[in-house]
Amino acid sequence: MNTTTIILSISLLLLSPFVSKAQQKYESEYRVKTEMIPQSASRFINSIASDLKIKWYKEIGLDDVSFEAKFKHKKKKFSVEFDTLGILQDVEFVIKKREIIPSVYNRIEKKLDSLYQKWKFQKIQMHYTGRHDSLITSINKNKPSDTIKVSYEIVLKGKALGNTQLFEITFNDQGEIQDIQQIVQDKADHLEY
Amino acid sequence: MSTIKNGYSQSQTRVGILPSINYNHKINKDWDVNFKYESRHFVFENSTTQKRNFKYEYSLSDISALVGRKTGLNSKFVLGVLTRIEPDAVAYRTIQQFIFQTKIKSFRLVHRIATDQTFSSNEATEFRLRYRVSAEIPLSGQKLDVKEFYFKFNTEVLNGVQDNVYDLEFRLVPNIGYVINKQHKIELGLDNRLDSFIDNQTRLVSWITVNWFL
Repeated sequence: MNTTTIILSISLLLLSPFVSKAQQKYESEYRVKTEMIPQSASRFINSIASDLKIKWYKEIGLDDVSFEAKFKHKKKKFSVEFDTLGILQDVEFVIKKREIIPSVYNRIEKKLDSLYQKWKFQKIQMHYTGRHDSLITSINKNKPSDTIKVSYEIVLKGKALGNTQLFEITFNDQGEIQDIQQIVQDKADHLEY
Repeated sequence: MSTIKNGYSQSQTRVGILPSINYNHKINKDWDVNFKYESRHFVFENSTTQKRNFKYEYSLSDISALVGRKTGLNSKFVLGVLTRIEPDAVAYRTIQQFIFQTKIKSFRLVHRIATDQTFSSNEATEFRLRYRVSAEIPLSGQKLDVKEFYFKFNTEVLNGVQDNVYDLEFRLVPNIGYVINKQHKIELGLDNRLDSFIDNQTRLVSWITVNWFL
């Protein structure tokens, strides 16, 4: 066993408390009409901009139910999640890796290099949590205000110990790992055979 | 369904039913097996030489076994064999496939590049090169879940050589599917196959397909 393999094995062992096999995040999700959405949720989205083309989804999870608004605003793809009472849970949007602060990106890159022999980003999302007015300002200015908590959710293809899998890793605003989930992909036998 | 009648070409249209059962089993993280039984039943024929005719005719049964090995996160290599049982003949086919998956927005696309060789005691060996793309479109959200419908569309081009004669076939297959539970899916579709048009003997065969995946 060479040195690289030993380092990777130890890294994976140390991080194993963070890693959970992603059971499906939800049991089902489906499109719903705007009329079914709590008014407070609709009001929040409308306060971002009045001309958004919004698609609403209902997600039924193992323990909870939520509503999600998906839309494009200022050339970014947003997902905003609410609970069944219309209380905002979080705001996330897709970004490119160059939009991560360089010092934070370097820390993320070093951490991924220690975890995987090879890795490749599939999707990067930035998460905002905070007060409604700060969130709306941050979204419209394309920059988080001081009171906003920022985190990054990265989906990547990672190869470790000869095995390539899909992972979803959450980093805080300092580039430290908060959570790792292995993504279980859906069966495709009805498409393959 | 088309009928072309002129002095230079003739064509044939046939319609039938194509039920299939597909059983897939994952052996471990790298290997899986697929067993399939499919049969063909003609119910209608129309050609330039014959009048339209509703008539039942059993055509054949195919039994296949395929073994797949993952070559990457979204790709696999597959080898298999098929036995074709017709009323008066049996043929054997060897199959090689490379399958990989891509995504456009929330649509899954599966690409299949395949070669196969069909051996029969009363016909020359047929060699084929095929490319198929299958698209899955969930109808209730962005992701396919249990108890949801989906639309599946396959399109395939098949190049064949038999006895030094080349033929080209196109297939267009739209399907509506339903996810019964995590193990079972059922589909209803229309498998349209157009071939033999290179030598002016256009043949269109349309199958009403019923597919059960377990």
